[in-house]
Amino acid sequence: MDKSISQGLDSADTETSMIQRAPVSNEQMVPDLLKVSPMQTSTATDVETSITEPVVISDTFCRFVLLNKGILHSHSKITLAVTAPDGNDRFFAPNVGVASLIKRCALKVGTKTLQEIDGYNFLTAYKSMFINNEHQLERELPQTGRSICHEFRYSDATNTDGGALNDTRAFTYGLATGKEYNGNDVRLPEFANIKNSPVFQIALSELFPMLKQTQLPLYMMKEQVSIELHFADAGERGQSASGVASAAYAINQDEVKFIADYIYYPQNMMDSYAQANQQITINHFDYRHSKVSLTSGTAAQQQIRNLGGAGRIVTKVISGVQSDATNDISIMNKYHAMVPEPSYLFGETPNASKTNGSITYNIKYNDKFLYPIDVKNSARHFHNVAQAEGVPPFVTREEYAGEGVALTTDEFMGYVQQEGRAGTALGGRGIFGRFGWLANRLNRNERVNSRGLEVFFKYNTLDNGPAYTQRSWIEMVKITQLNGGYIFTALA
Amino acid sequence: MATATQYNLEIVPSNVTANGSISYRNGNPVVQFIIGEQDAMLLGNTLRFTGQFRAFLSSGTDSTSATPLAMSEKLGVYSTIDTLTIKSQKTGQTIETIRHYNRFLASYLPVTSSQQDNMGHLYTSALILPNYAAQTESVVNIPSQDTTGNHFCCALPCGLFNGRNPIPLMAEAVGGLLVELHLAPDQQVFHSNTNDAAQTGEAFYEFKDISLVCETIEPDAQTLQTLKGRSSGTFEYNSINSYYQTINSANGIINFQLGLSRVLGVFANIVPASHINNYLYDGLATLYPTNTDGSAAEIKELFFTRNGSKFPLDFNVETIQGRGAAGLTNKTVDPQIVYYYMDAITKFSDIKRTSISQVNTRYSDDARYDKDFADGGCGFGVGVAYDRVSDQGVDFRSVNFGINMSLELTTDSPQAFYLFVHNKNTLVFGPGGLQVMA
Repeated sequence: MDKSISQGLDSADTETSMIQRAPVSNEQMVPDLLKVSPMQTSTATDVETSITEPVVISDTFCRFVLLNKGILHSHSKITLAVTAPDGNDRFFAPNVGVASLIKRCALKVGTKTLQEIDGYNFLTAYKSMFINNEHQLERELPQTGRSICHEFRYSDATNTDGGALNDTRAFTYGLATGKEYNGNDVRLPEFANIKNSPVFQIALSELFPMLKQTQLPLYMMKEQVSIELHFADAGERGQSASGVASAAYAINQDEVKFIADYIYYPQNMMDSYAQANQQITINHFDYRHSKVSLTSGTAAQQQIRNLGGAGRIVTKVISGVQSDATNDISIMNKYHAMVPEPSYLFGETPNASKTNGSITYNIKYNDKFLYPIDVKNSARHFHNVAQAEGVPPFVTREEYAGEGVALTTDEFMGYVQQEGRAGTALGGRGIFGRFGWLANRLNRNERVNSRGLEVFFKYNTLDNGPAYTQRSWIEMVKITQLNGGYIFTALA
Repeated sequence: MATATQYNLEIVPSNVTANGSISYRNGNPVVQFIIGEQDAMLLGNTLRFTGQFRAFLSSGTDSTSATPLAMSEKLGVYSTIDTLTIKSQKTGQTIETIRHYNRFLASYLPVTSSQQDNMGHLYTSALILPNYAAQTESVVNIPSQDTTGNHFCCALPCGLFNGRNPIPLMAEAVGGLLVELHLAPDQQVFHSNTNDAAQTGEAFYEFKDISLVCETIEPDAQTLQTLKGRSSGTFEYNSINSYYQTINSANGIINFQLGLSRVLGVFANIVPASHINNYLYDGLATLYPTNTDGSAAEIKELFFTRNGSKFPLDFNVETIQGRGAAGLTNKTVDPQIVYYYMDAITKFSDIKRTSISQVNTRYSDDARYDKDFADGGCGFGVGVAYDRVSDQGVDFRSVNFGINMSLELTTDSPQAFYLFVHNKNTLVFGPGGLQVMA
């Protein structure tokens, strides 16, 4: 049964795995070894960890080859680092962390590509919104370099007498890094500073979302399994603190390693599993990336963009607009999604000229629009994103919609957090209105016809400065089969 | 393979005004949405109330940073919903109604969402921002008040919509839904952040471009036929029933005939009765009992009864403050009270995210009451869970429920107790119509 439908009809029917198998020929009960979940048996498990060097590595590309043994744990890690250009303060963009180094990743088996994600660093900026802030600060910062978390900026810490001006008053909030603000600036902890050569890691299941549901039975595969990473341009890998010159960040090739966890169960169980599952079918998603250039003028008029997907089962569309002018002299580099600029600041008196811009958005496929009325309300866009992912984005109203005045004018690594205007020097360096990703779940369970997906959108009052790029990904259903040790994969 | 199709719906109010603006003050205290009878099922957890919210100091005058208007920072736009009622469109029968909905959420939201949730997604979706100053500037005094206002798109938490089962809208089942939002009075939504309500005397809020958005699922023909062919069906959901009582003595007693058969938990939040519908105070605050000067009326002892005997706790909750004069100097609310209160709202061990902490559950003895609390305002309440084992609830159909408290309420300061009962309901539908079995 289709997953989304089964979830709706009866929770008891909800699939807990996306793995479908051919009927088991014998009646021996074999536990589901590939499921990423606790096993319902008291089975002895052995995990062997191997640290593997890439077989090919340069400043732009690396390839790892996996050993065909055991079952590959989906939380195996790839470690990454850059060589510090100098002794100045530099950091990875807090919303993508070390994923900013990877512009494309591919999981290949033999000559077949199981999953390939282009624009991975940009897509990570979107995906990272769904990691809650507490985890970002406490877990992701040391692990991946991501650290989007917030704290109130209390405005009168010296007055503890109670009353209207007591020490609980905070007009604004700002980013939290676990350190106190020094005056009006908060810095990342030293361990995350590029000058101290931090080594971060990315889980395999984050690189390849298909591994979130299943683990690869490498011992059942007869072809070479490899992971390929294409690195981002040198100027788009890290960020310079304010006042520090722009730099190129070379990949520290000594630190690029694959820490693979191979899981073993008792040999008879693994043999039985292989015997009972000669053919394994894995339904998963693949992401197709496309982009288009925009200006504030063109974006202000209704645009119709065809994203493809003809003949495919497309389940989700993700979009965001980036200012091309941003670079490493900012908090987030190009890994952001712009929203139209508001025309007001904190404390200003309301009048008819104080307004927020808007994004008008709809998707048409199979001759019908996804929404009966184009969506314009920014909070509704936010809801649609939450519906698409099943989790709300853990970002604030100022960050997501550019609405409100509660984001602080204090600094993060020397950059004013509230600076959002793309038309300002260097294209806006803060985080204000930089999380305006749009995502929509295509819930009709239909195969897209030959006309493909058409996105109708309009960005009213994007700042009239730089050029923009709109990046989009469509999520398509893909079917991969492991049959007799050989992989066959195709879009559904 | 059976296939089903989902559709997005956007429903505008059936009592929409000519200019698209709706406000309590200008004669629209009820907003009504009709999700029509159709061969589809409503996915309740996708339903959202959406639109623009604006605050005005008086007609034609915006609230600004120089004016003292404020609203509950822990409720945001939820402050405006006094009663949520869901009825069958076909029969008009009430399926679920939650009175004092904003006060229910004033307990529910802080217990079940963290500080980061409140600053993040709940700020974007419901205009909640857990610091009074920041919420006032960014929502009540937002400079775009005259134009785009504050966009919101919030869920309506209630048993029917939170349930995992799709709600059958067919004529053979509930026959469409009628969702009514009874708006709260302006005096209850707004308060002055100073000690003077003079400037807030005509403050009001207004909605614009509001709608209800949701998804429905249309089953395939075969499934639909099966669903429509059923002579009767049942639909089980959890619900909230609300009750109101005041206490004004050092021996506070709450006693109700609940009339409910499967009670899962009971919790109450408190505010001085004089603060209700009063621009000077936050009528949606969830305070500890207070004396006339704002000093805490500390709870010294507490127990819950069913049919006159202690139940489910067969002991008195004796608090830190009950230990004589020395105990009363301790301003930390006894953790037993907080634990049982939170447990009554959601099973304590299941609470993964909360904003209830020592910061917002202390006895502050402040003449400004709730106005200067950090972390979303005071998060006090009392309550107890009844059934954390079978999850089938306890029968209160014919026996009384009671709370008995010994507290330091030594002045003439009536305390309003808003009591909420979390219970299981069953909706039975058939040829004879609908019946709700509580």
